Amino acid sequence: MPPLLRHRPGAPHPAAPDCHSCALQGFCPADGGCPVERRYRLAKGDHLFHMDDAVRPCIYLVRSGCLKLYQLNQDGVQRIIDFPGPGRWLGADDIGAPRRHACALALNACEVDAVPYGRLMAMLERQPRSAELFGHMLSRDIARQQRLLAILRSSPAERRVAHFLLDRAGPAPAAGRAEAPAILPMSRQDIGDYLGLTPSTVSRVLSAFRQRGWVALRLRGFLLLARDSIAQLANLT
Amino acid sequence: MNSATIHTVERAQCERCVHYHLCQGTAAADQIPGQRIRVERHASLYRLDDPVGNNIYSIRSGSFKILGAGAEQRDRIVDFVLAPEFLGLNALGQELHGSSAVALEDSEVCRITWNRLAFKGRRQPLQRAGLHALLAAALRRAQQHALMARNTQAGQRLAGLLLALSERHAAKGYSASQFRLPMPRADIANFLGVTAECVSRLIVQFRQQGLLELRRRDALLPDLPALRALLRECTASKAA
Repeated sequence: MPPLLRHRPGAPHPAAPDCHSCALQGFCPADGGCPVERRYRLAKGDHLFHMDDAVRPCIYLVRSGCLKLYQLNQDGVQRIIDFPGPGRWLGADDIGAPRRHACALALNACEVDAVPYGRLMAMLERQPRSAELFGHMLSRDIARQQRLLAILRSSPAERRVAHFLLDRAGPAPAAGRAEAPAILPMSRQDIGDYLGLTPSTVSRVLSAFRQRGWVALRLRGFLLLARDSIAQLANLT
Repeated sequence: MNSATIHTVERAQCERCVHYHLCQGTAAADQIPGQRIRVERHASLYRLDDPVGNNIYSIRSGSFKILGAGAEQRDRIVDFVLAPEFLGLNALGQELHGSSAVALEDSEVCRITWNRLAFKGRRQPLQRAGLHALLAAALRRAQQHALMARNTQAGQRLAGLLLALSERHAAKGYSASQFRLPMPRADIANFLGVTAECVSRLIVQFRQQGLLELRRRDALLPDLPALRALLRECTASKAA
C-alpha cells in the first residue's frame, strides 16, 4: 500500500477541493483543519486491508475509484457486502473490534485518505455537533443494510437490479440537467454475488432494461435514460 | 398491543449491567430514575413514524424483533435484538423511526438519551467510543443479515440465522451451541423470506441431519462444523 502524499497534521488538506465529496463533510471544526493523515493510492487489484488483519485504528475516506468490501469463507468463496465509492467511508464498521471482518479490494485505481481514529475522536471532543453527525453517519449505514436485507430477501431479479442501478447512479440530477454517466467497475459475477443472482441473470435483466430504453450500457458503465421507470420498479413491494 | 402494556420501573442493579461503563460518569448516569421501561410480550417499544427523540435503548432482559425497513416494508422483520444489545441504533439523527420494535417476550430496557441536546451540562451524555463500538457492531450484524439474504436456498438462510445467533451468544460469553430461540417460527419465516411451512420442514430436516434439536424455544446445535459446511456447500454450488 504505497503512500502517495504525506499530509502534515492540522495543515490544510493538499486536495481541499475534495471536501465536497468527503464522507466527513460538515464535521471538521473551523479551527482544527483537516484530520486526514495521509493519502493512499491503490492500483486495480490492490487490497486496502484483509479480513482478520489486526485493525489499525483508522477510518478511510474514498476520494476516487471504487472498492469491493467482501468476506471469504473457508473454501475461498467471496460474499460481497458493498461497493464503496467516492464520498463513502471504509473501516468505521470495525471500531472496537480486534480484527477486520472483511477485505477491501480496489476495483480500479483508487485514492483513499486515512484518518486516525484518535485524531477524529479529539476533533469530535471539541465539536459535540460533529460527534453526533458521526453517529448519524454510522446509523444511516445500519438502516441502509436493513433496507438491502428487505430487498434481497424476497424481490424478483428485476427489482434487485433496478435498486442496484439507482444506488450506483446516485441522486437524481437537478431539474433540467442531464443524467451523468455512472461507472460499473465490477464484473457481472461481482454484481451477481452482491445481488444474490447468477451473472447470466444480471446480464439478462440489464439487456431487458436496455431494450425497453431505460438504460444505455457501456463498457464498465451505464447511463440512466428512464430514471422514473426504474425507480417505480425498484419501489414495488 | 399499545402503550398500556409499557410502563416505567425503577432502575436497579446498574453496577451489574454490562454497559455500565457507557453510562458511568456521563449525563446518562445522572438522569432521574424511572427510565427503565418494562415492555410486555407483543407490545411495541416504538413504532414506525414515532418520534425518535434522541433515545436509544439498552435491553436489560428479553428480546425484540425489528419490523420494517421504511414504510413500504412495514411488516417485514429486519432484525432480532437480544439482551444486552441496543435498540434504536438505526435511527440516530432521524426525526421519526423507520422501523418498529416489538417485544418477543416480557422485556426490560433502559432508555438512554445519547446526544447533548437533552442536557444542559457540558458533560458528554454517553461514552463516545463506546457508542461508536455499539454502532459498528450493529452495522456488522446488519451486513451479516443482508449477506444471509443473498443465499438463494431456504436451508442456507436458516443455517445463516442459526450460526449468526450462535456467534452472538458466544461473543457474550454464553454457549455457542445451546441457546433460546425467543422468536416464533412465523417470525423466523418472515425474517428469512420463506413460508412458515418451509421453516417447519427445514427444522425437521435439520433434526434428521443432526444439525438442530429444538424443544419449544430451546435450541441445541450439536454439530456446528456441519452447519457451517452446509452454508459453504450451498454457497459454493451457486458460484459454480
